[in-house]
Amino acid sequence: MDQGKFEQIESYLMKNMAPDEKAEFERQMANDAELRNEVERQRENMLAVEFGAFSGSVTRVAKQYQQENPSIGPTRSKGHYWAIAAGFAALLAVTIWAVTGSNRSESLMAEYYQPDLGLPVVMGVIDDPVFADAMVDYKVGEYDEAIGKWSTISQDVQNDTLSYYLASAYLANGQPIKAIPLFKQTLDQPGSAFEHQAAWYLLLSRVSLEQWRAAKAIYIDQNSPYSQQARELRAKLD
Amino acid sequence: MELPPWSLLMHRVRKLRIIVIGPVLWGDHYNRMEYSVLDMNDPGVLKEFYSEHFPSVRTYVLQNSGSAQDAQDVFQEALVATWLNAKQGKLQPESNLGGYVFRIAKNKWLDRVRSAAYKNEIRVEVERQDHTDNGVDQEARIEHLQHIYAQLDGRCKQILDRFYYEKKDLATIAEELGVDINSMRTIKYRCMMKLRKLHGSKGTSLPQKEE
Repeated sequence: MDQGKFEQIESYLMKNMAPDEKAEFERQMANDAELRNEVERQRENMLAVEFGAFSGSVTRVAKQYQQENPSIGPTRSKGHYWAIAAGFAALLAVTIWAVTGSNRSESLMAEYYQPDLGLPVVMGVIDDPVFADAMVDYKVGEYDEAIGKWSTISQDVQNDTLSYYLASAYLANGQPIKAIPLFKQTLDQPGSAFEHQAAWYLLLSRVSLEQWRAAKAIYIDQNSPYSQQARELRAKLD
Repeated sequence: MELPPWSLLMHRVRKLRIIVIGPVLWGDHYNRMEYSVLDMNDPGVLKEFYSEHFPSVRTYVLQNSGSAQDAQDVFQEALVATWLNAKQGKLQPESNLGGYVFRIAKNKWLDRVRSAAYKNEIRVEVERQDHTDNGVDQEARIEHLQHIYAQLDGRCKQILDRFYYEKKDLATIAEELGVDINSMRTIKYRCMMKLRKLHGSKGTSLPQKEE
């Protein structure tokens, strides 16, 4: 997209257009699906910027509040020097995170992540032919195909097998953000056969997004076949 | 953020006017208009809101097996969720903002307490009171927006924050950063094109909005 078109859309979204210009632009949009898509995409990106800036502002205000109210802050004050030391430690941690964060996530995923192998595709194991067809796509690494097919089924059917494998396909396809709610949905089904797998891959989804605190908070049952790996991985998150 | 000095003052005047005149004009509903979410783009207003409403969330979390750090986490999460709801038109203009943020923070804490991570550690009989936020969809959407923003480098964040969030004009930003305005316009365009490329790429498609 050229700069002129970008600035025209921006002007529309920021409500800077004159009424006649706006009316003409809306007429163009009504007849041009691609333009409508561009407007929505730009609206979303502008929202992401505003959201990111607001989140940063909240974090700064929270820190300021904590400094001004040490008696009720998150760390019980044990003295000024401890606070300074904690500040330096936090700064060091942030610096290390900034330098190594992405590499750390990638190396941990390379070490611990192996896509789920999928279900055997034989008669009698999977009754639904669409589901079985998508499972074949999944097993040969055609994740987009599998996601497309499973997503059409998921509008009608809600079960833990479907939510788990759809989540697995998203994660394997590099879409952990979409995988997370589906793994959670699987875990919410009492007695699910995929409970252990879903918890483990949910943890890995968080790791891939560098959400370290959320990753550490995920409960892995000690009877899970992944408990040992999870312990090792968690130790590396500290 | 650099703000015009009258910004916080105007908010306080508006708040005072509402507190003084509100009961006469609107009866019990007057206090619902004390804050607008978008006022909170002003750090002074945000700080005031934080000081006024964080203590009640802190008390609630501490009384329900949490720490002060937990309270701070859920309060911050509730603030950004509220802001996003407001931007997406999901917040009634007359909502009591303090109460709204408290309910979201409370729900987030109850969800966390009930999560599997806590099952073996504490027993708390809790029930979610309402559905002020949008649960999983909202979380996915927040993660998606954070993910997009995280892809920007520091220079782009500096420029785009000032333009889209602080609503400064390009000439001001150019002067602040010591760049001529035409170069600044091009830099901003390139920064936004980076986001456009990311947004359209595999692996970052949008969670659907609930309009």
